[in-house]
Amino acid sequence: MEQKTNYLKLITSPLGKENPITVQVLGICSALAVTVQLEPALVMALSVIVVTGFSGLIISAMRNSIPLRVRIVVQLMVVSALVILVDQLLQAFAYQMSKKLSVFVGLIITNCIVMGRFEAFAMMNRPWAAFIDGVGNGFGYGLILIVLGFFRELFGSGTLLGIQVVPQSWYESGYENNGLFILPPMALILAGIIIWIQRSRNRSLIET
Amino acid sequence: MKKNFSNRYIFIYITVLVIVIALVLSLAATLLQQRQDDNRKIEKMQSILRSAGIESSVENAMLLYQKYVTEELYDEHPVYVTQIDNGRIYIFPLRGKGLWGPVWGFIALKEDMNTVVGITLDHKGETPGLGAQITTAEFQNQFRGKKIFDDRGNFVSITLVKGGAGNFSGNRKHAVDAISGGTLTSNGVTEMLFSNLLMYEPFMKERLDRLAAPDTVTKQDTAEEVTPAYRQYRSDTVDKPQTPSAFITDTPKKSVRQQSVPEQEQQQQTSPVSAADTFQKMPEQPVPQQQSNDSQQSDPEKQDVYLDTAAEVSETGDTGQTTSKKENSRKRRSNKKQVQADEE
Repeated sequence: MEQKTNYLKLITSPLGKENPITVQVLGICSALAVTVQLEPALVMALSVIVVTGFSGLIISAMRNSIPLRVRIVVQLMVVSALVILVDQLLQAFAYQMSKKLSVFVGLIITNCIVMGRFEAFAMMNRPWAAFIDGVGNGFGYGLILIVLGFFRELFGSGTLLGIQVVPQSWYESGYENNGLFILPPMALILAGIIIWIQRSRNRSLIET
Repeated sequence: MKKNFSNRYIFIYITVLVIVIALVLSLAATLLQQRQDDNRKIEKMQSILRSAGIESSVENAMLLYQKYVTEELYDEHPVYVTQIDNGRIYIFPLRGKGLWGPVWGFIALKEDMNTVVGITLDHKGETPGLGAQITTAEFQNQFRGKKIFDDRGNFVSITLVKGGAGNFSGNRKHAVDAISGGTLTSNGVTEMLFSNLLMYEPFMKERLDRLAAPDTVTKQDTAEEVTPAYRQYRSDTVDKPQTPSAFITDTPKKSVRQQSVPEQEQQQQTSPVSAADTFQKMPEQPVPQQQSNDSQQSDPEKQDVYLDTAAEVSETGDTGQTTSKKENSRKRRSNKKQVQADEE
């Protein structure tokens, strides 16, 4: 049942044709919330990579002992523990950032990507493969987050990572920041555009 | 792999899992507690220093703070005083409600207790890009040089005005631009400035009196001027406690308990004294009765008496109410340390 796994593919496929956000359409909520600026998007991506990776590892190691009837409860407990750990570490070592991300780190618990990967992969694969799969999916999620954060901060605030990018002379000649980019709907529209581009280039992704 | 597990197995499995996770998390929380508290303390020091115009980094904040800032107490509420070349600066803590959660900060006033030197604001979870703009330098720099009292000495506070300070009905020097798209946060900040500064108004008047030569006429004036703003505020806020003394002592305590202690802290607090206390020295033990009766005298009728005693204190030197309060608070603090040590 557990054949040889292609680790490279586990990392690369979530970036493209199995991307959790654009193809599986999971984890949209936090993608809207933390991508107003690039920096929180980066830290959020990193946190999700850590959580998905290690929770996959743990769940997969436990998979033969987990009673199926209560597996969701067990999965939730493991994820919650990891998320709280990440939150505590952020508060201790990256205090400013943990304040910026506020509730959204805690909300990784409810991120569908994590549970989705348990059900689809970690419950029936070896720990190491599950770890790689989790990290890969974290990357896939983080990639979209960073793209969204980049465009939203650039057009919404004229900055990148908090540094002014749009020159002052533009503002003087009538350029204005687009307020729509700061609001959550723009993240959905941007994600929609990414999905559109991706599917027009790879027609096998189009559902009929 | 698809075994049928008995109910007993499931119960034991879940119980063990819960215990293991609880142990891991409490271990992590205990190990990281010190660091997190330090972070909070340093952040608070930095924002106090920044409000007085002193820039600090995470590394030197502690040193600069010890060098410049001394703490005083007014009715259990802290006031921070810095002595820089061009005079004293008084820094008052602020706490209030934004749109999604608490907002807080520090406002620094010049010795005249009127001109704003600077302000620092922070929040728990205002909308990024909108309400969260209150933390930006552009927004906070607007407050520099604004006044909280009008020319006749009436308390007016500073208002965040929608559409720009130009739309303010009163004098421009009491208004700053609100944040577009962050109206509710802006209103929260306005309300926070008003209620917190109003609470400190007696302290300000007392210090001003002490600064100027004690003069009966001015004392009368200030005593009368304190009350109208007070009554106004009381009639505006129906749901607040009715007596002024209750307002002064109760409201801030409640607000501290409800808003300013982030949820995280509440969860991982291993001892009842820690993070909450670093911000505001709230006595967990009851204050000696005599003391609290004394300090609650801000009844309009008793205002005169209060100011009189304050003036006497200033005449007889610095060994008065304030010093004894300081000593009391120090005692309380050391008590708490004792408690903490005992628990450990």
